[in-house]
Parts: sequence; structure tokens; C-alpha cells
Amino acid sequence: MSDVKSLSVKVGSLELKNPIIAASGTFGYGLEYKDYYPPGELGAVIVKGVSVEPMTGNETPRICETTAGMLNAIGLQNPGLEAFIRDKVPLFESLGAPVLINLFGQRVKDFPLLAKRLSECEGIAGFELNISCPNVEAGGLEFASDPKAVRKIVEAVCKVTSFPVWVKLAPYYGIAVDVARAAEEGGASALTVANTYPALAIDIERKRPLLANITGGLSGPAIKPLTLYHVWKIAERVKIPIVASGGVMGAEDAVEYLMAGACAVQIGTVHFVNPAAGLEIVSSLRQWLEKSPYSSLAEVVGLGRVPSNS
Amino acid sequence: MIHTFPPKPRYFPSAKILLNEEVSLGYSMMMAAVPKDFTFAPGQFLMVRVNHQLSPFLGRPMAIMSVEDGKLIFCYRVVGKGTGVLAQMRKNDVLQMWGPLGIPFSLPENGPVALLAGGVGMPPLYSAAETLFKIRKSAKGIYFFYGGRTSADVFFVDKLERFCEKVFVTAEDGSIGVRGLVTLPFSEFLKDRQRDSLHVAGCGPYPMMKSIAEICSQKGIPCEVSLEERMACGVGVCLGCTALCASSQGEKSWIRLCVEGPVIDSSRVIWNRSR
Repeated sequence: MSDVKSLSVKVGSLELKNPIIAASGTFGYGLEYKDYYPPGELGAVIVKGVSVEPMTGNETPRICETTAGMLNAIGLQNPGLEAFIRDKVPLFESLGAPVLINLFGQRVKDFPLLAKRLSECEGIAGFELNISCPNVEAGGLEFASDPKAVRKIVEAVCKVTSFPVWVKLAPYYGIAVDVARAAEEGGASALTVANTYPALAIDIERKRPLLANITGGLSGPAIKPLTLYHVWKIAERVKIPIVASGGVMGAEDAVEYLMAGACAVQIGTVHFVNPAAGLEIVSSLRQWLEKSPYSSLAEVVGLGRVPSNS
Repeated sequence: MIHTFPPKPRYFPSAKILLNEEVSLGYSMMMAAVPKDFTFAPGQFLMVRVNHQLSPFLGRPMAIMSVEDGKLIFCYRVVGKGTGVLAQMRKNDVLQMWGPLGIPFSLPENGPVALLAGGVGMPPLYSAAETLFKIRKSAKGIYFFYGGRTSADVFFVDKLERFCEKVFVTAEDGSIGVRGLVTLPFSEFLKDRQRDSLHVAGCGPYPMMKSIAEICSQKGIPCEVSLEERMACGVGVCLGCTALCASSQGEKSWIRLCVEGPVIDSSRVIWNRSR
């Protein structure tokens, strides 16, 4: 019998059949791409972020194209906790992949409130905390640049849920490592590294920013080397698992992240340019592993690491 | 109504180009090979990418003009980087496409229909006219109003005339048809007729959609418009292509033009402000 090598990975206590995870905000509530491939092909799905109250989001234009990427400023549009539980959560069991819920709030206490209520629901495998949003109790300072606030959030969430809690870091140079450590100390089971990069594009004909919100978040293949840097730097400072997220277009990008020290990889913007991306990446990753000398993907994690010079 | 259940979308990683040629100054027509069983409903669109390139990065929504015997046609105006690259592609090159996507026009099986097109908004209404003509086996009661800035913006009129009882053509500079906006002959047309059963569908620039919505609302005529917004995914997840609309209860909300549109009852649209 030919031994098929296993793509399965562990992110803390969570076992995934493969390391490819749909990133929050790029895969809807899990069924939007079902005409292109079954979501159960993915290792996990992280659904669009939910807040306590419904949010209408920003004016348009909300997106624009850039070289090898795009900017978005959607404004965290979502139906709010109660509508989410009523209309979205019942769909999750049919996905065939573990579902993590992305949570965000405007104040520290929003996060445990969401986590507690959602922990009572069926069909949920864990939480991912989006800390790239302004804290109204701190003059609009983003949680993501405030290690103390992040630690408070994570501690409060871990107190009310027994599900795994991942923290999605912002890719801010200088502070990301401190925030990562604060999340670890607060009890996070894994870190998602990272979110989009603050960015801008200007329409030179109209002499105005291309987005109604002026600035937006850059995603797509343009950011992959930047996020790889953060994965590398953070991996040497924390013990909890890292889930990489930034610009993956194919299986080789995913392998690069694994070699840098991530144990799973999110894919996001690639689905916007190829609706079958998840299926294709999982299948090429399988081919890559079959041809490689390794018997499992777990062996690949951290393989590229050499001692840092700083 | 016809086409209540549009077909499921499919992904075509490399659809072969059969023809890509300029059909009017600044406008091109693309013909690509699709499976022979590919069908769509008028008003639906495709996401089209120049195959697997990182720049231009995102796909472009393209309204489907016709599909026959595995040959799909869409038209585009060469305006920017994406359409510029598209215009350079040749026969046997490949496109990455997914679709058909979105809500189509709800076309009545009987009764008069007014189709209003502005410039590159013509293709989805071309497919509406062609579909109605084929189902009804008659051009009677199919009226097409087609406007542009100049004569270059108005093309395929001869083809449209085969499907329509009458094609009204306008150009703002008077270089073809009636001088002025397309709403001019449309308003005249409404004066002369019993309009109780008229059905109106439009696709064109935002100000044009806004004014036909106003005309129809004043006269109590049902009207559907196809709206445009920058789009990334085409399947409802990126939330980029939203438009502010009112529900039947009058509640305001953003709808996604790729899945709850692009065709929408014009009375639901909350017309913007700054556009």
C-alpha cells in the first residue's frame, strides 16, 4: 500500500486536515464559493468579522487595485451578533471544515461579550480576535498598537470560553512583537500574522484618493515578503503557534511561510482573483509534499530558520 | 417573467480567445470559447482576468452580450490599464473567467419593453433585446433607446434593429441620431402611448440611470437599472461593490451589486449625492 503523506497540522489543540485556511473577510460565511469547490476541502474557514452591533461600513469606493495587490476599506460591515447567530451560525455545520469566528469590538468588554455568547452556539471551532480596530475608550488608538489593551482583551476572552483563541496581529513594525508577547501572556492559543498594511492610492486625474475612506489596507502578493518578515521575527519571540496570513497565491508561498515558522497559512485575496484558489493550493501543496523528502508538513515547519543576526 | 432561475456560475481558468477586435473608436468586442452548454440570463456578467497575471491584478466585471454555440461575446471600452491590456490580447490567448454572475433583468414575456442604453451599457440590453425577440418570435413592442456622447459610442445599431421594433439613437454632439440625451426620445415616447403595461430596463452612466429612474417614478412605470461599482470577487464576499438601497419596508442598507444586483428595481436605489 502506498503511504499517502499527511497534510494535517496542529494549531495548538486544533487539528486541521491541511494547513490552508480561508482568511476572514475574504470567504464570506463559508458557502459563497460553493459553486467553485466544496469549502470542506480547506483546513479551516474563518468567517467575516462580527461585532456586537450591526455595522453598515464605509462609503464607496471601498476597494481599488494596486500593483500585485489591492486596497480595501470596507469598514467592518457586518449584520451584528444577533443576526449573525440567527442567520449565519446555522450554516456552519454544513461546511465540512472547522469554522473560526473572527470577532472585533470598539472597547475591551465587547470581545468577551461576543465570545461568551458565541461559545454557546453549535458548530464553532474557535475564535480569531481582530485587534486592528480603534478603541473608543483610548481615544481611538488601535488595540493593535497597545500591548496592554491586547493582553486585557485576551485574558477576558479566555476567561469566558474554552475554545481556542487566536489573535490576529497588525503588521506594525516595532510594536508587533510586543503585542504578540502580550497576546501569548494573556492566554492566546495562536497568533495570526498578520492583517493588511495601511496604504494609500491617488487618482492622478481626479487628484483625489481612490478610496472614499482615503486610506485602506493593502493585501495580495505585494505584501508577502513583508509579512514573511513579521512571521520570522515573531516566531523567535513566542512559543505559541503562528498562523501566517499575507499574500499567498500558491502552494510555494505557503511552504515559504511554514519554513519561516508558521504552522498553518491563511489565504485571502487570492480567492478574489481565482474562485477555485483554495482547492488548487491544497492540491499543489499535496503534490509538493509527495515529491519532497518529508513525510509530513509538520516536519517542514521552521526548516528555513537560521539564527537571526539581530 | 422569463429567466427566473439563472444558471449556476462556473470557473473557466483558461478560456480561449476566438476574436478580439475594435468595433468602434475606443470600443472592442471579445469573443471567447465556453462549453456548448453555457447559458446565462440578460443582465448577468462575468469576472474576466488577463490570465494569471499579477498586474492588472483584479478581474473586471463584463456584462455578457451574447452566447451562441459555445461562443461568448462581451464588449468593453478601452479606458484604463485593465481594458488596455485586454485590448492587446489576440486570438488563441486565454482569459480567466467566472460566471455567469448576478441578478438578471426580469423580462416580461408579453407587453411593450423599453430598453435604455448609454454607451458601453449597451451589451446587457442587447442580450435582453435578442432574448425577447427569440422568445416572442417578433420585434413588436421592443423599443431600444441608445445614447452616447458621439457617434463612436453608439454601435451595432444595425444588429439591434433586427430584434427591435424601433431603435432610437442619440448623441450629445449630434453626430448621429437625435442631438441630446437618450432621455429626450424616451420622454417623447412616453407622451404618445398608453403606458400601463410598459416595462423599462436601463444600463449606462450613473446620471443617466438616475434620470430614467426619476422619469419612471413620476409616471409610475416599473423600471430596472443595472448599476456599476468597483468589484473584486464577483461572488459577494469582498463587500467592495455595494450600493445604498431601501428595502420594501424602507430600511436603508448596502446591497452587494455582484449578488443582489447588478440589476435592481430603480425605486429601491438611494441615489447619491455626489455622483
